[in-house]
Amino acid sequence: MLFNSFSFLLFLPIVFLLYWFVTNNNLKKQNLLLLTASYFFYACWDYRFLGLLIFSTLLDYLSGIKIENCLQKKSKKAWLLISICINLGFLGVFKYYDFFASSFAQAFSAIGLTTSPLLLNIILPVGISFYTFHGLSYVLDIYYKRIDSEKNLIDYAVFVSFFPLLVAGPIERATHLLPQLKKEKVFNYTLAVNGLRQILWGFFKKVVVADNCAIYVNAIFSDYHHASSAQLIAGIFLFSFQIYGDFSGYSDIALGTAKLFGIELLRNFNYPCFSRSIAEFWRRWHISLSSWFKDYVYIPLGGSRVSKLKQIRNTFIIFLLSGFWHGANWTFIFWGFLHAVYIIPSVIFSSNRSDLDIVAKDSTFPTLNEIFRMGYTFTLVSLALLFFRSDSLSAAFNYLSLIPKQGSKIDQLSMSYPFISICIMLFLEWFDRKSAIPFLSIQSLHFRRFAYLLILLLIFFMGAFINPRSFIYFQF
Amino acid sequence: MKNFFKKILVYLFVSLLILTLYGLFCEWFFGIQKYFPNDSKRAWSMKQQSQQYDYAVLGSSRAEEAFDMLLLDSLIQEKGINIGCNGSGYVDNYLVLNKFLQNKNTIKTLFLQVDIYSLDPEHNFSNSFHVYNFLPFWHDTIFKSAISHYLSSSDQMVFNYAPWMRFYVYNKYFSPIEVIRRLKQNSYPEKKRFDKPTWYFSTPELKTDSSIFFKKGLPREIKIQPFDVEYLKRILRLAKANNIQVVLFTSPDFIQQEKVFSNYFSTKNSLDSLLVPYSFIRFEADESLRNNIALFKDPAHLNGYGKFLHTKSFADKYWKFVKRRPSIPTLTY
Repeated sequence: MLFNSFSFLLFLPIVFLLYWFVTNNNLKKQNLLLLTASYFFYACWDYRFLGLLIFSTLLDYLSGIKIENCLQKKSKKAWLLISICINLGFLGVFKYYDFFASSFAQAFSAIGLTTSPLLLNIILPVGISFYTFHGLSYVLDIYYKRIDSEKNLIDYAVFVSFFPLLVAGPIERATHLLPQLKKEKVFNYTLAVNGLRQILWGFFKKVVVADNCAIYVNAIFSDYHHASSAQLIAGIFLFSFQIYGDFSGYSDIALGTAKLFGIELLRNFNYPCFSRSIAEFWRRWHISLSSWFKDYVYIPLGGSRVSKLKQIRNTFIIFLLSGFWHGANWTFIFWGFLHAVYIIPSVIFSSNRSDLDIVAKDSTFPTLNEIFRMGYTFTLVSLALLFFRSDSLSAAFNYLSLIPKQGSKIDQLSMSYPFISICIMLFLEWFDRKSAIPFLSIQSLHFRRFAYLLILLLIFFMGAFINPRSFIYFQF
Repeated sequence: MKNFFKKILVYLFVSLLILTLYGLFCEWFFGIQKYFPNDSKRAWSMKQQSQQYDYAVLGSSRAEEAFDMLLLDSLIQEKGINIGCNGSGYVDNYLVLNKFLQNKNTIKTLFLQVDIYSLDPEHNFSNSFHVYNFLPFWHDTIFKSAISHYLSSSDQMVFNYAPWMRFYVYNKYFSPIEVIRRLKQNSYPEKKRFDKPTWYFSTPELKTDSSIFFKKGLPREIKIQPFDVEYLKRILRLAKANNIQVVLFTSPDFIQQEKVFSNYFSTKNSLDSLLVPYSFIRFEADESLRNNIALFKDPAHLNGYGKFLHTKSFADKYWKFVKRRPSIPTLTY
């Protein structure tokens, strides 16, 4: 069930009405309803993998209790390792096995040994990377005594499989979400209205910005040999906007949907298009994943309290892991590697903690220097995303090599929808950049209402509804 | 909570009102012949009104690119129109021909392209059916029944009970921007004919390596779609009902296509047996053309020179077997 489908438009109001009107604000019933709805939501994709989700949930639930109850450190560690190994084992089999098998075969053939690897060719269960990381953070937090284990299986299962975040995050932490699931809920008008604002804005970014860009991007990337230089360059930048619109749109819809149920999820994006440096970009892009890697990999490795050389090593490790997390392809790993290369200078010169505030915090418009830095950062990010989007490293390098060689024709008609939608998105986000909730920068109530209506109508007039596209991050 | 629902209902009501009004406007505006899109061959064909032709060419892009129409007109000494469209299967073809005839256009002979590709448009064409081209005729049962086949049950329900939604799902073709474009361009004056490009012969492309045509992962399988077969039969019935003589033809495809599809020959046999009961005159593609890679711009489409040779060969056969007269003198290129 896609967020941008008719079935979700039916599903959400039904669950919402049941949640607030049928459960009589009884917490147990509410959580049970959320769990049922979440499993139904997941089963709509592929009911066969529901068993895997339930198994993963039970494993981490039991491991959490065992880790907490074990008196000896050795046994605690054993339970932690069991949980980590099984979780990563599933991820390894479903997501990475074929990649390793074919990579080894290629490596062997390079030295003259021909092998025929046994490939599984199995479908990747949707959201496996996300719920595996939920579970891992939970058992690690118990092991490091940051939280107590959850005794209520239903509550824990909702934490793992809450439908707005189940298939593409944000990657939640037990410390943040579980306490909310244990709190009595009363309908909060402001929270629900903020949720609707985020849902509206998320739909605009997904259906209008991302899906319109996708039409153009797919056409260019599928036949880049025949595209002009201008089209090739446009393809790179449009993909950046596509993936931003797609993923942040999904996150906005997820956060907004959760708010309708009185639950606040972790913020995943904080206007990354306005970043002035790569370090700032990573504080604003896919925040839940980068903070996960920071807390569970970077800091245990010593973080920034070790020598510069080790800091550089740690930076490479988390960016390569981040790339690998996205998928079993060298393109993702190279994407992570490029970001590590981008960020290393700021690690060496200890400037990665600058630009902590949003750009032009005290003024309406940015300075020329800020505009230049934003453009520069966005260009670097887009260049790395070219590798993220390409089917293979050689395809990405071919794409780049063709840019100076092709002509300069550009199809203005096809570009108009993506261009208009990107301008609207950047315009509104620029004025909203100091707030986590969209539209709140518009002071006049009448103008704000008009903006809601306008965005709603634009979704209908400009949204790409033919062959609705799945969200890019579902594949991860 | 009450306030929350009240606000949602107000927004829903206002937006639905605007959308419904715009949908009604679209239904009126895009139903007007002069505002009907003129920028696609399919729409252009359906916009033809009260024209008299000796023949019409119908089929997919392979039919569209099979003939040099000016040359064919002069060689067979008849006036024709090519309403074959890029990416058209038989369903598309039937609806175009039906509308063409509804618009009081007349033809005496239909040159209908029959080939294995059009029996499986879902896998051979990038878009097996162009729903948006036929949406303005949603109220016509003939169109509606064809369109419905390509829509999901939820889309059908929405299109039936919220008719204006048709224009939002396909908003690229029916948006306010499109309305403005049409009005600005003075209701699309007919500047362009889709079927008769200026005389040109492209020089034979010196391709020697046919492998450039073919992608990895072959051979593929053609799966005959019963729905498309049914519409092929409907075309033939429609022609009969309108006293139109039918001449079937197959535009040349490059010989190696036989290896691209695992069931090329069995599908061709199925097509042959399907057409046997109709006993129409049928012109197969010349093997000499099929063997020459220099005549193709891609494995299924002739280039300019290929088109020229195929037009000549077709006209020759037409004189011999349809007009039953000695063949036309051979032109030299």
